[in-house]
Amino acid sequence: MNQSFEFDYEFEPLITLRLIATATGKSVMTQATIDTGASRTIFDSKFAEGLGINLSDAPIRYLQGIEGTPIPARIAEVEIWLLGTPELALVFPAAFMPNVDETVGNLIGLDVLSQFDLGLQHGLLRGTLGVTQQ
Amino acid sequence: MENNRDVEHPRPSAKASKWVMQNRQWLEQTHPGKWIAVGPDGLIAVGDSVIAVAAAARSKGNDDPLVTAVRRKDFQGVDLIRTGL
Repeated sequence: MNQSFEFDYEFEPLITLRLIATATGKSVMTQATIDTGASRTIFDSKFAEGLGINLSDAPIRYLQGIEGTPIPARIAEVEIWLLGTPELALVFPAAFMPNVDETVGNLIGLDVLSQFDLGLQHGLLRGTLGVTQQ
Repeated sequence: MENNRDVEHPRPSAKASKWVMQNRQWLEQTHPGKWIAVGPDGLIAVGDSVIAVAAAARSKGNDDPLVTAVRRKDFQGVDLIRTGL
């Protein structure tokens, strides 16, 4: 298990990350909660706006919350650097939805986590991340 | 667990993130539902969008702030169950 990078958190595993639009090269530092119960990584649509990503023509994928209601999300390719470091980078199709960050918050789901080794010592509010060695 | 790892705290963004965590209650009381730009020394700008707060931070000399939203009042103090999203 690769535990190259360590992070501390409070309450829930909230980490910093750099979000980069592959189409425009623009980037922003923000935060997201690691959620091993989420299949998809989700960001607030306002990040797409800020990064110059046009979501109006982006493919739609319906996501389902625990209450069962399908929620439309727009899919766009982004690069993320977990913990803000290029050593934990991944390019993938992220889901963008409105009103996420001021409600549930951005989520890092299993689609991203499948490429990394994640360790949590939740009793100590501490985690580790590293690129999975194939 | 080993201790010879790169820890998050030395990075500038981690200082901003730590500031947000430590001031979460104050932010939720004073700026619910707003977007914020935060630097290593604390709050730089408050606004209604990523674009607005990033531009305000740039005008104050910070080209790469941490940008995030403050939880709305109706989502504060709620235990969220995200499983299945």
